Amino acid sequence: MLCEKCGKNEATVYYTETVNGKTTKYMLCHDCAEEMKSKSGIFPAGGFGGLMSEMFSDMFAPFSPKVRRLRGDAPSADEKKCPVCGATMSDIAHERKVGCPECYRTFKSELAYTIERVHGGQKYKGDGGTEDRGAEKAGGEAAALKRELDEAVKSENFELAAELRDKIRELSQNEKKEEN
Amino acid sequence: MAWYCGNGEARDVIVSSRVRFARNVERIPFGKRLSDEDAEKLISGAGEALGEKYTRVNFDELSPVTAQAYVEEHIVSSEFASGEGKRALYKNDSDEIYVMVCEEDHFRVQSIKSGLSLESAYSAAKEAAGRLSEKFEIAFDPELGYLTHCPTNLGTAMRASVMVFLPAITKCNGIPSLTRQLSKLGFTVRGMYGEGSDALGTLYQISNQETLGITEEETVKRFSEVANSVVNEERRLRRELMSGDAGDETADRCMRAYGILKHSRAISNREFLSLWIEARLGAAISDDGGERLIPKNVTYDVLDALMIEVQPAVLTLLSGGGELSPHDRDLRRAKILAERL
Repeated sequence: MLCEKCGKNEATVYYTETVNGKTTKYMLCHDCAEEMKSKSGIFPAGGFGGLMSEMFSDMFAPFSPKVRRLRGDAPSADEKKCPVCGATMSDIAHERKVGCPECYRTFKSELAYTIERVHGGQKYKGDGGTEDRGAEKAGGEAAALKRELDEAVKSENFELAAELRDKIRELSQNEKKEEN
Repeated sequence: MAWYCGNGEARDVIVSSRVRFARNVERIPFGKRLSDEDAEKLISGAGEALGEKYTRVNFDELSPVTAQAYVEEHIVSSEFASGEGKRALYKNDSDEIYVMVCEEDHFRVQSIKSGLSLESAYSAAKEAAGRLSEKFEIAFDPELGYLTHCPTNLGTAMRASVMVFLPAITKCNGIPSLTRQLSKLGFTVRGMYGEGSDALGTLYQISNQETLGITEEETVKRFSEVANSVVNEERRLRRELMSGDAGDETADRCMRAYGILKHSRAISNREFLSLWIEARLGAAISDDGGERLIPKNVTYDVLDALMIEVQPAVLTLLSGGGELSPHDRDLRRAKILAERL
């Protein structure tokens, strides 16, 4: 995602600020983060600062049209759309929910901020989707791939995991076709 | 058999346990972007996946009173009951697994059991979720886990909760500190009917917050431990409430509550609920080896079933479904109470 202050560079730094006992986090680029260190507040003091800090307590804040207008980054007509449901990041911020599962892939970098704020940077640690009994029943190749997938997820090799997941899907789809 | 008639553990403190999974299907939009065609695909597909032991209830065709009755039974959310668009509920024949289709997520699979039964509710819900994954390509990401409509549910997409009855902790002003302690452990405490001010504020819901960075089994295990420690604390404080002069006062309130519930001509739902809480405390104290404050046959099954069955919509349906005025309902409620107690 882009830096929340300049809106130009890629954000690489989390910046935490406490004003009147209220802690707020921002995603900033390196330059803005350096600048912040030498200043006391991220935005001009007074009403504007108060408004901003209130808005940033919202997990979708960086994408709300109001904040984007204030930042000079108003959503345009050619904003990126999810290929499956057509939702834009502005829609998602407004509705506070995604439009379809594919949105998580379409807006991966944009949603990273929201997900980080809600879940504190945790990664998935559940059963790895193994309740897919169809693949388990297929046994043999599918079961072996499933074990590899579990291992890949555990070792956080997500690129490999995505590849393995696609292979497993392909297998189970072929199986279904054969059954028919 | 309804969820409130069962033999779960620690029913003196824990009314019910619930585990709910959110599951969604790849390439199908959510909510207002979901077409009727896709909704029907999800609903009929769920029916095929779940099998013949499940009954389909079309919520878009239900009368408001019937839909509301499901809310009063704590089976569906009020958003689902009063929502718009095609949506359906599947319930299994033993009445303990419910699958809402086209709620906030495509599927909300939940199991509800009486008392402290998180493990068995977990396995039941998991089994049903597994059936759906045989039929549908469930949206899943290795890093984010199960993909959900709202980003707060990402990960295991599992929400476990217990409805707890905490009259003693409430009376000792222990709720704020309990809420803080549980929050540190990743659990939220909420009042079921508003908090604090009267007897109604002694029913709470505790639920897990974390769905990423923790496995389903870890959540269930940690939750069961937390729930057990809440049970022990509530029981300890109840014994304190029953000692000395305070004991007479507590016993008096429980016995009077039972008396009014059994012997009235008309009773409002609000009055019923506040007396129900005192009577339930009476049953718990009697079972804990203390003095018998209310008759032995007035068990948790009887009391918990009453809590559901005299709610306005369920009561209306049980009385034949015809329209009842509030006064008619109050009369009818008192009659049911007199019969059962």
